[in-house]
Amino acid sequence: MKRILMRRLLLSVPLLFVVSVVVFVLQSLIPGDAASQLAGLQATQEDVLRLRRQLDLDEPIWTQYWHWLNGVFHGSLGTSLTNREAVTTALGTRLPVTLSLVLGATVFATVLGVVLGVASSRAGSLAGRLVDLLSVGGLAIPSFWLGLLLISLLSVRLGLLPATGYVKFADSPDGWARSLLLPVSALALGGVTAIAKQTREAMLDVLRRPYIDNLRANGVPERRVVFKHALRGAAIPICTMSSILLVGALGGSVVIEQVFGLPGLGGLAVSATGSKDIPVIQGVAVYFTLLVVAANFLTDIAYALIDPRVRAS
Amino acid sequence: MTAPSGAEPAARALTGADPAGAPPGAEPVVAPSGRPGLARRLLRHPLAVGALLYLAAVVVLAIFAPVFAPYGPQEADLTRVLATPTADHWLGTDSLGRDIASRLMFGARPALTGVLVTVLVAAVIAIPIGLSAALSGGADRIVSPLVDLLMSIPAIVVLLMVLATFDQELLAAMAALGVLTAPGLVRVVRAAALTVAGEPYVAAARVYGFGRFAIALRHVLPRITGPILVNLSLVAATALLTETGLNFLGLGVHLPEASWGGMVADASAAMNQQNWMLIPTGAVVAGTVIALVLLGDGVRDATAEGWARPATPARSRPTRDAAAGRARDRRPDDAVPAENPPILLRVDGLTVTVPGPGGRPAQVIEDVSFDLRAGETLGIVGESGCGKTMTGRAVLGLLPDGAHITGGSIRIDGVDATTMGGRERAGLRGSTIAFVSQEPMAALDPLFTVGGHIAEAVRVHTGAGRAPARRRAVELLGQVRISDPERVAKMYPHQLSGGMAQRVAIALALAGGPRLLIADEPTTALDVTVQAEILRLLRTLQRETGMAILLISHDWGAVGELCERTLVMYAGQVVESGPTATIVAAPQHPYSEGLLAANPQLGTPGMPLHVMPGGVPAPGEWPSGCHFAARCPYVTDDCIAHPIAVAGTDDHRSRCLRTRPTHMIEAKP
Amino acid sequence: MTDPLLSIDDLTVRYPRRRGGPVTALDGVSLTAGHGRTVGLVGESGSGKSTLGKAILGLVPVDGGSITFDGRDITRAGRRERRELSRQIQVVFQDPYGSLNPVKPIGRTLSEPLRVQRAIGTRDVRARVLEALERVGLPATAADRYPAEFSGGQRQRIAIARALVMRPRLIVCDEPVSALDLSLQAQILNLFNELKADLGVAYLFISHDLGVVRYLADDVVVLYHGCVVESGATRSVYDHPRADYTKRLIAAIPRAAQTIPNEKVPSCSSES
Repeated sequence: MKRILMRRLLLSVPLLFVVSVVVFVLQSLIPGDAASQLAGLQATQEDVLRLRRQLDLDEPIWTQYWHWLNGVFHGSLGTSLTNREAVTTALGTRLPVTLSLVLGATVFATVLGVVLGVASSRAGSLAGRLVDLLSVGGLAIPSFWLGLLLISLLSVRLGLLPATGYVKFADSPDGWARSLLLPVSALALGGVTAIAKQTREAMLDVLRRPYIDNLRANGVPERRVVFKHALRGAAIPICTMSSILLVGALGGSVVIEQVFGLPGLGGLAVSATGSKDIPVIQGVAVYFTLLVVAANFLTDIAYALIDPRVRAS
Repeated sequence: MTAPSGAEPAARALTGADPAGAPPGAEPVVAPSGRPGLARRLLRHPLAVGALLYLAAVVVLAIFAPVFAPYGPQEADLTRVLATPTADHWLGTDSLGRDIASRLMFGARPALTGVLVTVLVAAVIAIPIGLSAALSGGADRIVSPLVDLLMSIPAIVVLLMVLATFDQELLAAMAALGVLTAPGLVRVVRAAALTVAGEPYVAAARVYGFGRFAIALRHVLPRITGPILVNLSLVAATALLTETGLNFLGLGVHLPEASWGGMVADASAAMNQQNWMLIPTGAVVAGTVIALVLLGDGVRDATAEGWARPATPARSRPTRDAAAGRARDRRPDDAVPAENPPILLRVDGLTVTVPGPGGRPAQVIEDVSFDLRAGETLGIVGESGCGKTMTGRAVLGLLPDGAHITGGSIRIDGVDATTMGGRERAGLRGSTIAFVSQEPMAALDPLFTVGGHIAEAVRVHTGAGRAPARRRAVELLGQVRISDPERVAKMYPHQLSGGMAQRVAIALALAGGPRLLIADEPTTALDVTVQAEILRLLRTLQRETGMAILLISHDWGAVGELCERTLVMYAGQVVESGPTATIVAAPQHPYSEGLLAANPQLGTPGMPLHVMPGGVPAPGEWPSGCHFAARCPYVTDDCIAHPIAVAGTDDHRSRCLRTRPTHMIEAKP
Repeated sequence: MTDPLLSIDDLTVRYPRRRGGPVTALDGVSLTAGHGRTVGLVGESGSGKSTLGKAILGLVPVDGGSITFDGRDITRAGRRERRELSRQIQVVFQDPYGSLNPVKPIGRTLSEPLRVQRAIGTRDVRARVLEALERVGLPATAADRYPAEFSGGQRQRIAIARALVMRPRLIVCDEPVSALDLSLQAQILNLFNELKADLGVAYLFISHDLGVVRYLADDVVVLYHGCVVESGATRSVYDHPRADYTKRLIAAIPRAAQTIPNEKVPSCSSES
């Protein structure tokens, strides 16, 4: 068990390295740079050169990367090229928004999906076909489109919930929840159906195993068979799907933040890509990667808690 | 995907080109199956056909958009902005008065090319790498960690970078998406290929000199096209959603070029004035994704059908005389001599039916009757498909889905269990009737400790608290002769040997203090020396606890060791019953005789074994007369004419006309 | 006497493990098999009997010792040599469901080994396939059908036919009847004996079932934890077992309707 977690931790180091190098190399290929963007259209060649020197952009790419890496070891992700704000500060104010959205959607999808999946696994083949149908629909409907539809119905037409904007939890927990309800639902829908389908299939698979039969044959009541044995047996694929959803929700959050006007990491990434603000993009990449690493780590721990064979290996 | 259909003509050319060349003596058992090609098979799936038609329409409209579109993609009519559907603009117009239908056709072009690029890139990378990882350990040591690593890269960040680098060149981003989805696909290919590569036929191919490459191409790839296609269809769906997402953000195609995502963005901008535009734009994206997924599913199913067993038309089976035969077999209820222990289980005329091929009901057990007294040991012997296990399950009240009792009764302590409610029936399990199954490892939940398992059963049956149940569990482990029960109680099933696991399973069955233990092939999966130990343990426990045992086995040896009396079952019927020693020494039914003689233990080396020709007929294909007639060396016309009743003494009876009815049981109404 | 057909000398096979040292599956195993004879290889699960079969077939790497077939060292034969050897040594596996490729018609499965050899023409290939099918008692029409259309016993016949198309001199049979019911098992065992009498083929017959081996084998080799504990003519090993393990094995055979003495139930010590 410890070995698996250690391996996961050790693997995250090259992962972060690979991601940051990829971002740097890709960035170096981008025609033009932040200096020419900042200097504006009227700027002379000299202005751009001077700005470029100020921003250390005239150095070779590997030197720039080394500076950045050096900063990371000292707890700094550099400063934004566009507004000279520390990247950690800029990301820090936006991280809670993205985290609330992504974690909210994952938890929402998992809880609702497991409930629906367990119910449908007990309900026979018609319910199964319904879950199959819904899961195709859940996959097919683009989350941003669903978001727009929700805004159009619940906010614009009925005025039940705010259409856009974010309220900090510290300011008003109630407002925070109301501001997140629609975006989380839009982001989670596909996940709900995916989890429900996965839960149903895993439950049916476990319920077919001989040990379930054996428990029934020796008098263990059905309720215990389903909730204690079958659900626990199905928990590993559910966890796997849940962690896949979380990683997918990171990507989806970029679009959803745009739809609902949420000041999260995704919007920052889009605008920084437009202005070629390398340190900010790099920072977003590092944060996203860390979130993925954390999700994988938690999944591994969950596996071990569920299955003694994982603990032993 | 093409392998099964491609292989057929070749095989025909090989073996069917010259039908006259077939050996004249070889009578065809079944006519060779004329098998339609993949395309024809796909057409039998209505959903897949619908999906295919939809996708074909989208592709045609996209390619010939300049021809079919009523308006140009940029043709603006500022006098008619945000119109709802009209005869001119049958999907309405957008905020610049451009025709939505036309723009959807032009917008399909970047969407489809993008999807194609992603799928191709992912497939070209993932399939060879996944296959080589599955077939070569060396490659796997590199590929697997690399896949782990690459799957953790947040795709969206890389896509944003690629779009910035290549100046919003959508195809570059879609190619990058293909690269980023490849690791996931590698996993799928590798896992599927590993399963296939472990099968004996792959080993056989290696024996006759195939290299890894040939095996991958000829034996592994055709088998795994199903999962690959399904996953490629999912990759395509994801690619389309990503493409529309990027265009929605305005990062894809350059405005004012039409794109589906861009049109959703237009709709969102106009949402305060009109929200009709959301409908066609969203529907076309969702519809295409659904079509891709359904097509993937359909192709997978059609591929599998190419080599799966074709549905055999169920032969009609005359059931005319079945009822008559059954009535004659009823036994007197009052034949209980005083000195015998009470009857614990009385099965009378039990018939179980399952839905057969084509939905036609087929009997799997027919007219099974036997008694089991308290403390008695009874064996059920027969080959697979004879209904032994089904009989055990009927007594437990745990018939598989679809199977149900259509005749007869099961009396447990004199009460008919077939009329009990589900809850009452469940209450008997574990406390009155317990069960031990064939695969001891599979019979234990891998996620629970041995002690936890048994303690759960103890608590269910006795209502004991946690600590007393735990103590009782350890006692039970001692009772099944496990030498260090305290330690074993803390172990998990995967830490046990097969013999140990079977002892644990027996301890679990004993938890409720059952009076009848049904053991279904309890030793079949075990090593020979362990088999003997488990049989001895069962016999000792039977003596200690006085419980009755119903042993279901294909093995005369096991039954001989444990059981006083034996039932021989053939094709759903009890064909002989009597004291085990008597049946073994002087079988009355030709099937018992054949089964005993087929045992190589009793054969003489160098002499052919006694062989019953053919095999057990499948349920639904039983003849109306003697079920064994087709294989019987003594068959007469009478055997085939009508159902055979059971005859013989109370002690030893058989379902054969050759059995002398010493006292006529069938005389009873 | 001529040289034996197959001779194995001091064979050692180890499997690498992810953690810890390798597991020794075979530890200095020696045996010989004569032309046209049946050698039974008996042992419990984990005794290494299947590994021995795989080593002969070149499916597992050998760590020590030698395998000599017809006077020629095949211990580490390369792929080309293996391809040629497959005309001499063939295999039948236990699982009648996994041993045939479900996506290929029977005719194609049977002709594949011949086509790999490229030694005979298409017309002859077809003749050989039909001949092999007839040998195992299946109609020529079976060639056009898929494995799913056959029962377990029929599939095992097909697997035997696949071994026969090469006209081998040795067939390694790895538990070929264990998955079959008693009456089908008897049919297949008789088939093995007929083929041996008619074609002079030798078998290495791997089985956990002592009854089957006693009936079929001329000689028997008993494996225990990767070592040969006893070998000799079947009759004498069964009637006068010398090794303790062999005695235990033979004592454990349940005999129909013959109760064994009621001894004390032995304890099963816990394993981890």
